[in-house]
Amino acid sequence: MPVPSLLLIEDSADDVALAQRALKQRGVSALLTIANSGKEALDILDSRGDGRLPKAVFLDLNMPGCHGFDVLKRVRSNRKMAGLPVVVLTTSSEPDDIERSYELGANSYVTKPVDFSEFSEMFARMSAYWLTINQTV
Amino acid sequence: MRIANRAGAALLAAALIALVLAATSLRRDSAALDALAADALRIDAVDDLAASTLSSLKDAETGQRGYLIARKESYLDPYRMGIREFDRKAEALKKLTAADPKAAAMAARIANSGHLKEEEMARVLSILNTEGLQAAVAAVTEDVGKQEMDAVRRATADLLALEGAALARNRAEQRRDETSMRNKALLSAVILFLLTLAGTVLLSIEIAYERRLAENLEASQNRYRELAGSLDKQVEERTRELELVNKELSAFAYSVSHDLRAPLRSIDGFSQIVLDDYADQLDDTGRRLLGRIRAAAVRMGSLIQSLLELSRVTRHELVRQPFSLSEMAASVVEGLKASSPDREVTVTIETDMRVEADPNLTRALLDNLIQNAWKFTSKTPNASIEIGRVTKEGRPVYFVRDNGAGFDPAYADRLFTPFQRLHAESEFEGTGIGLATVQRVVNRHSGRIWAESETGRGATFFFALS
Repeated sequence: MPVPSLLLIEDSADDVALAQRALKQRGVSALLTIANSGKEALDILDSRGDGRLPKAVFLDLNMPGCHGFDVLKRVRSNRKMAGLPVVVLTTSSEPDDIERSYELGANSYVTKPVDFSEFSEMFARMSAYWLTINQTV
Repeated sequence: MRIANRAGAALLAAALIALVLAATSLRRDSAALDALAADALRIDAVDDLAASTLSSLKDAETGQRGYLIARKESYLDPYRMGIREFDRKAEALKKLTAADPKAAAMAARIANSGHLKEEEMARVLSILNTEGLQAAVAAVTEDVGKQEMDAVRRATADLLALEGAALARNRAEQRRDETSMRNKALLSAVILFLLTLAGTVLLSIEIAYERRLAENLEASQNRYRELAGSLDKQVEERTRELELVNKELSAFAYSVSHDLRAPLRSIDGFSQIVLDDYADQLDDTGRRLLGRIRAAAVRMGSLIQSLLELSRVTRHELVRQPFSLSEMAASVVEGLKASSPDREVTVTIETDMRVEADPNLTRALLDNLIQNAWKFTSKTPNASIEIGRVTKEGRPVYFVRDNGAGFDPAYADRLFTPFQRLHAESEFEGTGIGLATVQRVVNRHSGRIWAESETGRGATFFFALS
């Protein structure tokens, strides 16, 4: 049985490292796939067939090139990926961003806390939640 | 009053005065003329009467002579009649000439000589009756009667000459008066014409003035319209600029939230990792210093968060709608109680406080004020917070009152300035932006906020939302 995977779409290497650290620290057993840009994320998702999609996608919004909203739109308009759980994980706490994310079909919206302990707990919990809930894979 | 108006009034007055003077003078002239005409009539009457008086005396003489010659009683009738008529007319003539002494003297001469003539005629008749025709004729030939008759004739001629001269004078005076009247009428006409001319000139000046005034007014209106138009344009431009600035501010806030907070997360995160992974290689000081780095990063994160909220209050579009301030306050208090369940605070909220305001902004306001009250009562035994309403100058004013640390009233004006803290952070944590946010919320509502306090005796924050 393959290890369930999560996709983290994040252009900041620091945030990637912190996310990886959080899962390891909190003992969440999952394969964390990293996409450094929106385009890379869509390529990865396209290349995955049915049954090999990640259990959840953590999506940063403010990325150069392909913005998080574009990724979200593409995912929701693709029949194969339409049901994929997407958690927007961003530094922004702007009401406009929150509203737009839910409009475009995000399952959840989380502002990254500055405090690493908070971040670590939040990320680990979100990951564990979707790994448990999403049994489609 | 304008000059033209004043001159017009003067002209009108001058015209009225000229008319009154002309009318008075003409009336006087006319009365004089009437008097002259009456005088002329009187002169005519005197002439006629004088001639007629003489004629009556002649009639009497003719009658007397006839009787002398014919001795017929019928000749005595014209004699008597002539005498009666003469007496009557001579009296009338005296009365008619009474006003003129010269004429009156002549009339008296006529009457006197006439009477002497009458006496002579009567004496001759009496001689005729007593002494016969011869004696009577002799008496006649004494020429006494003829002398008196001639005296009457002379006096009558004198009177007629006198009256003729008077009539000529009268005529001359009448002509003079008529000429004077004509001249005055002409002068009046000329003056009135000149006044009318001046009035016309003034009127045309006035009309020109009015027209210039109207033109000036129109020019002013045009200028005003232009100004208003340019003002509109300016307002439009300013609005566009403001919108642009607002957008820039929004973009700035976004980049602050993203770009400034991300490195802080790294600082905190990697400090934590160092602490976790390299704990054995660090001494206590190293660990403590890393702890301070983390605390500073987290604190900066919350500062940024507060700044973002402050800017959001400014950028947020104000939408007023009715809601219950009481319920909103209760919900804020509930959140605070849930986050620190170990605290015991007596909270009183007045019921039925309904406001018409922006709910999102008001929520930020209540969050900050109630959080402050919550925070500054943390070291107070029997902490209590009261949220209620009073009426000032007929308007509702809401308040949040606590019995906490309070503040020195000398610094009350600095309360609402961003980053202004009246307490040490070690004493009460906070970013110093909360009350600045509150004030902005109140400003957005065109309201008012102020605080009353004494150190150690709690604080009351009053606010009005309109």
